[in-house]
Amino acid sequence: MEQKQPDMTDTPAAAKGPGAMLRRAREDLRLAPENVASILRLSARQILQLEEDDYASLPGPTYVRGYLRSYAQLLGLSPDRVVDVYQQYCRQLAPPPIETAVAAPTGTMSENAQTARWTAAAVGVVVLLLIVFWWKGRDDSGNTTRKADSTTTYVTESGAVIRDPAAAGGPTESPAAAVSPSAPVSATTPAAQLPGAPAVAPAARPATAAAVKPAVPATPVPAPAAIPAPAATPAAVAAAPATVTPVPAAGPRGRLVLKTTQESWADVRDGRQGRLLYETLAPGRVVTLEGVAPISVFIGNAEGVQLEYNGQPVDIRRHQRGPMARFTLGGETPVAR
Amino acid sequence: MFFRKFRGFFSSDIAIDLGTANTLIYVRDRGIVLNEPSVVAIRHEHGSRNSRAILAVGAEAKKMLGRTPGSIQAIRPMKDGVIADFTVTGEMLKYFIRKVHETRFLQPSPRIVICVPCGSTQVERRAIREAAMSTGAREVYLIEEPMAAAIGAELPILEPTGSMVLDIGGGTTEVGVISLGGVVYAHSLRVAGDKMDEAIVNFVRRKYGILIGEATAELVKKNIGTAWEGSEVREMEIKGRHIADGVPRAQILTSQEVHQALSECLGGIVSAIKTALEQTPPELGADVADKGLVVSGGGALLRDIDRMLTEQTGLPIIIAEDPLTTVVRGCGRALMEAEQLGDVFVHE
Repeated sequence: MEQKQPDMTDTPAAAKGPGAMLRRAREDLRLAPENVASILRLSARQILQLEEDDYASLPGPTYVRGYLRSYAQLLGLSPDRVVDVYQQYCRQLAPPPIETAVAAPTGTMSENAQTARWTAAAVGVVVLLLIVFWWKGRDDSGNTTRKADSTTTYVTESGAVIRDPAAAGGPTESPAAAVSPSAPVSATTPAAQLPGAPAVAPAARPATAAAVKPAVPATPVPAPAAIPAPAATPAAVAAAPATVTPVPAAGPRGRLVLKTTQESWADVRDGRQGRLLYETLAPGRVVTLEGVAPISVFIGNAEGVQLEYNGQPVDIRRHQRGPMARFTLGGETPVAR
Repeated sequence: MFFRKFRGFFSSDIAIDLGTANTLIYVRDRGIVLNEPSVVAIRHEHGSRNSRAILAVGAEAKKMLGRTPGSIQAIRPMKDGVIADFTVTGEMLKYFIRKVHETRFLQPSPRIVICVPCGSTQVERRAIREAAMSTGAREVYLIEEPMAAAIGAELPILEPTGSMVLDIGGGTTEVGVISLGGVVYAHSLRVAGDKMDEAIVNFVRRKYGILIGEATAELVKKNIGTAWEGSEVREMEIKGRHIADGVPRAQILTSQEVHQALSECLGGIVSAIKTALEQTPPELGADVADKGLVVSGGGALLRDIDRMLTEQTGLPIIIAEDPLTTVVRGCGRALMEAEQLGDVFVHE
């Protein structure tokens, strides 16, 4: 069937809709609405509604477009042209429902979404930076605490100086913490005593000594405890259990003695959140600690550790959860967490 | 999980029509950004067993169909509307999703709406969901194809009136009747574009003793194929291998012959429509008879299919606007207007 181009010049079809054009074409072909309806399987009423541009009585725009295409094809008109006229007519009448369907591909993101995403990205970066700064600050405060704690001197029960806890018990703490106990020794004991502890790394000594030196006048380390050190052999130093000589300081302090019968790790912190002890203790070690109360204790193998706080034995098993025990020694009675 | 959500903030929600013939992707606020054949070319690496590398995906891979050496295999990972090769489908989806997010710094983790044939089993649906999840999606919603087609064709699915839709795709033909936002009746038929191509191949082999490929058959269907016997006659020259002589031969094929070849497939589709009308409640059936049947999918582009369906079913036939993209547009609208459209997704 040849398609005739509709005569669009004489009538402002866009203002009227395609109905008049369809009716004229139908009349030219001498077809009755009933004939068209039977071919398209529509009702004659629907055909007349199409010709009168009465789309409100017809089903939705999808159907109307379909009817118009079929009708135009039957009459030999261009379906696309007829549908275009219908679309224009709809646009003039009201905001077109057919345009609300799906956005045509534009190739660019909507500005709002893009702005929101960039804002979110900026916020994310700021949060990330804050986390990094906080983390670094936390590390620094940890180092400061260790420096303050470095006034504590580790001394073996036999009185020999331990310069590196690794030699005595194999600590798992970071190198900085492992070196710090040796610093006061190097700072407060004569150089002649050093041959008694050959395990100390020479490179570590100047740095730690420098850090501790200012604290020396304020921390009178009992000299008699440190002096016997030169007499001890390196082997004796490594084998002997370690004790810690407390350093007097301002504020309420507590004295804690840990005795290990089995290997266990321990994390002891004082009231200033400074780490007093953070290492794996070998069986048979006795560690004496002193710090500002309350002192929080976290023990990995509670079965293998005995504890005394200010000379009073502490029943660890009361706070035991599985193999571990966690509690705070703040005053007369320990507080489990 | 948290990181996936974080990445999701920088990804656009997408709707996918994972079709047997073509895969279309609709991206929120951007529209349809990808329309490529669902074909993957795989190179089998020498030296190691079961080692496969993706060589090409989409249009590039389709060019290789039937023209590959032994080491390369061009496959269609979807068959009859469902996944035939899970791994390759996952890789293909990953490729397409990366392609539509190519400018992004982070690996995309979008929300995905993906359509499934209404006749697919739970296992097949799960496979499609898993394939979509394997691309890094943070959430996957499934929608039945008739529902997606109805939404895409802008049918009044929320109104208390019956709307009937027919989607003739590559692997399946879906018939559905929808009312008040729900599917009243749906049926999936594994007769569609692929079966039509197969029918043309078989017809030419039977009648002329010439073997043609599926790509040639598809070209014949698109160029001179017709669904109505009264259509204008067209001719096309085809080339294939003569079965007896073993040499290439050329043959003129007419649209009437193609109609003859397609008649069985078309008969199956008409039967499915009639069955749907029989199964539909009478009130909704009356609505459908009054308004008509909307046809979408690549099959809607077959010449004079509306005339044939009108004659055979007695219904007014409406070919959807841009029928190839109707389903993906419906998926996209379901994604964007989920609140207005209500619960149109499939729940397992």
